[in-house]
Amino acid sequence: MLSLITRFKHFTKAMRFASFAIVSFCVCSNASFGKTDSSENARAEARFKAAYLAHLLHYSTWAEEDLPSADSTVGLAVVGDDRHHFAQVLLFLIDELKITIQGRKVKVFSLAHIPDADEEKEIFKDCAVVYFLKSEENRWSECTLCDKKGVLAIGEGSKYAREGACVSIVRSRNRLMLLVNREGFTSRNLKVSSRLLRLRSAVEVYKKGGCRFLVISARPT
Amino acid sequence: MLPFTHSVLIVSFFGGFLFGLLPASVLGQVPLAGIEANATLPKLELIPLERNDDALTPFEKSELRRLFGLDLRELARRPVHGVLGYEQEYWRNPASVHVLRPDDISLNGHVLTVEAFRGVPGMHVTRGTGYDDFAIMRNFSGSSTEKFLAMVDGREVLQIMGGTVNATGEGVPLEILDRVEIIRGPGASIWGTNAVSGVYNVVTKSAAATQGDSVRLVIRDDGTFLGDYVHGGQAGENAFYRVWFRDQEYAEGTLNSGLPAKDDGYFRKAGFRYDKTLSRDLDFTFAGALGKRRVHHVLDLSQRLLYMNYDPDKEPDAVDNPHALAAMETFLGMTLPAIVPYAFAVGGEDNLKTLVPSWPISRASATTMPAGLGFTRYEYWGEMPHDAGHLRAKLSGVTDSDLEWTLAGYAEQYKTFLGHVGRRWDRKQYDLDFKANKLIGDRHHLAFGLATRHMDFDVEDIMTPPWGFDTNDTLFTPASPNITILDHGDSPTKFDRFSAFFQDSYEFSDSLLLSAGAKFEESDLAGTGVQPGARLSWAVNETNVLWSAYSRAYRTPSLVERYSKVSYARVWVPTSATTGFWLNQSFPGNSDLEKEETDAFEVGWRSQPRDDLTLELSLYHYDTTNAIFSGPPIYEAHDVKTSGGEFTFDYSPFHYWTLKGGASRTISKKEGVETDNFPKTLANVSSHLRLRDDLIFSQNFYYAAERTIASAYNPIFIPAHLRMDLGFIWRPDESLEIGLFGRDLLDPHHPENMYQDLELEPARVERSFLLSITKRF
Repeated sequence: MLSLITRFKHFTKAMRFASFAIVSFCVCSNASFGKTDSSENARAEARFKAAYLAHLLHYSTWAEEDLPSADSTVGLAVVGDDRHHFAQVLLFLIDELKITIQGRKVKVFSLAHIPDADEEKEIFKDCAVVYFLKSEENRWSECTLCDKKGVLAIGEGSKYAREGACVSIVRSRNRLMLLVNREGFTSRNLKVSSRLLRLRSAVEVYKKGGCRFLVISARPT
Repeated sequence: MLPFTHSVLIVSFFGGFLFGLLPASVLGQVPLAGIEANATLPKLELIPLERNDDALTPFEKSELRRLFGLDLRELARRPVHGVLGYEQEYWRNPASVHVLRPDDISLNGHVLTVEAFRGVPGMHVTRGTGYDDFAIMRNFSGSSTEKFLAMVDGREVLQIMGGTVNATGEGVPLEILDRVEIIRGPGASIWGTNAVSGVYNVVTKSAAATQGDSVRLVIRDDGTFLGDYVHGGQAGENAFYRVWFRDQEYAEGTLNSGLPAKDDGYFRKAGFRYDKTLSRDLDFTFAGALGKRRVHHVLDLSQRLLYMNYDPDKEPDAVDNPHALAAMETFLGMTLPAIVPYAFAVGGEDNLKTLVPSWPISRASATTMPAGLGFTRYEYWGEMPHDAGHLRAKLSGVTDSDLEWTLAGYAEQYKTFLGHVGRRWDRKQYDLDFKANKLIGDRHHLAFGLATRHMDFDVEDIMTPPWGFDTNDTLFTPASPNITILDHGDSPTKFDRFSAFFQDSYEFSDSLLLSAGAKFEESDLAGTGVQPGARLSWAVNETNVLWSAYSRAYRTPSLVERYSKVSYARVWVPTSATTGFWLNQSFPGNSDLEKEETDAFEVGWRSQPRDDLTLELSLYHYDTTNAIFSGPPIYEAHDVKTSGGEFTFDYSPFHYWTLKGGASRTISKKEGVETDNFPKTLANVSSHLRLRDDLIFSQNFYYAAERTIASAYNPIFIPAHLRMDLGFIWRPDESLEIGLFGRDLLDPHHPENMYQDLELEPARVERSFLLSITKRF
């Protein structure tokens, strides 16, 4: 017993020393360099999101009548303030891995912000996928794209799926997850794979009033 | 009143957090974006994007491909910001890391994971008997398998009895293998004790990722066989399981002299894993395995029973033993220039049976060596059963404050009997391990953990037949027939260990990353110690990263080194032409052996100048005090300095051709004298050429420079060797893979390794042909 106590004394002594060293290091590093946005982290997150989106295309099904002819290209629009090159990341992935939507090549577009309701149909007329960046969360409303069939609407942050989009990519606890709104799919004449919905560790199905994402504050990107 | 240091701590701590958590704008370092009033907005329209290859660095492109290669479930498990030391495949990682994936095994014609380490620059893999491959990295070990830490799913698999790793016994089916992370060099703060030369960490897939059935069969032309069966299923909405079985049958090989190696046997193993998502923030894993191996091992008696040759005209033999000579000189109190002790059985005419009738020769088998070698060798074969099992339970979760944590418990039992030397032991081991990490602000990533271990040994030393005759342990003790080769005596059998670590990774900027921390340990075997480490990574530009590191690492002496009295030889002391007595030659375990301490300095360069080319260079210098070089006649601690480097490349000039490889060079000096037990140069090249969509041509070359297997009495020179393996892999679809390989095609056979001072001679590593079939249902 005595040896155990002695041992713990050594141990706590060493721990105290280390705590001091590490905390001092933290303080010094903070004091010297302060805190700025880490674009490296944001770029890393953009890569994760692009990988998610590429997977998501595989799990979604469009009605053939909502897509252009089989030899045409379909549009994928990235909407919002793209300061971390998400669209380029996505384009690289689509090009490199030859990702298609039901056999059709994908063309990536960018758009500065969500258009007014009366412009929407015209602007997105050739798009099968519209991806809304975090910057557009406050512009998004349940009416956005609600009349457009065959458009997979995806957004960064839980608000999108809660308010009518098909899917939200949500960052929670240093992980990315998908929040799927089945109503968002059916209302746009889209189908979502049941295999996707069964991936419970990666996917949560949005239920009005019952979604845990509601209480999760997504990090700013 | 609080002591001064406490006050500093508290102020520093809260001050640190406050500074760290304040938004950048408060600190005045980021200007707020201005908005011009009455600005005219351009007409909104979709802008088609053209691919801009400069928008992503080659490192980012590689990472993107890797992320897309993960399925969604795995992707969701990956932290967006990884913790240094946890996430190895991060291009800014300030460490020398090599990751092996299942394809590195199956496409290169390897049967077991450990064989694939041949493709890791800086690692030296050798084959001893048919059932054991030895792996070691970054020279300076005195033995074949020591001085690095091996882990399987977080469970330490180092055998503390002998300080070795049984890589074959810890193998898992290829189908459940996710990756093997090999970290060259000590990763002091996260990994801790025994990660001196480096760490390898086998990571298996989650149960959800191995659904369905799969079979892998591998058969070699000599009859050696491996069969794996894996079945995975779902046990509820959020629960998955798998079970697996492995059977390995070892065909008998051949010793270097052409004699049978008697290394046939089998190894059977079964395992399971159950994963359940308890809630969105809480995962549970329960896994385990049972293994049973039956093989035999040998002790070379020829070198261990010595006698005095009184014939002054007799030439000293090549296998004379200076330690026995010194013992005899001490005993007789005189210098013996013409009296040379040597193995009794060597030399033909000097035959123990006639000269020393008291030795019961029938207790050992006499092997007549092939014609031309001209002597008889005496050996003793003993069974070497091994039964082991372990259970692992892990809870992992994330708190509302984004603290990621894991709590893991391990229970293990390992029973074995080294029949050739007469030691039986049963080890029960329990580990509890808590780890956590948390992002603090955007720039700090703090990781910390606590762990405790309890080990309980039951050691029994048994008299083996060849040694059961009257022998004087010392000149002053009566002769006894019960002097065992190993004797643990009343030495401790219960050991505890407590440890804790802190590590903070701090991003000074997008290009500069510093990780610093320390591991603290208090253990019965290594005492109290702190193992600090600091690593710095600097992204010079988009395609080049420089890193440097300092670590202090410890290695715990093994139980044999500390506690076992080793009777390594017996000397016949003649008192007349026909009479005499046996005198035991032994040395005690050294319970004063201190832990080995290594100060390791590393620098590295990682570059991806093009999407299809990655280059890495690591240089290191180790300064080790109290390095223990095991093996009779005694365990001695030495100061050792080791310097070296590794260069690796990964090149895919065309989509149908990939080329990987590397080279390492290392020099180690023990007390200023260069050692030769590790090849100074190692190199390998691996080429995969896709001949058709479903057909791959695999070529592998491995080079190891010469070395000498150290021994107290019989060092063995292993010449430099170039190995060439060729193979064809047919993958008609995702469910079927058939591979046909020729291995070691450049020569019929060559020696690589043996257990020093135990075995008779190295076994032949022979040219072989291999058929592997993998089918997924």
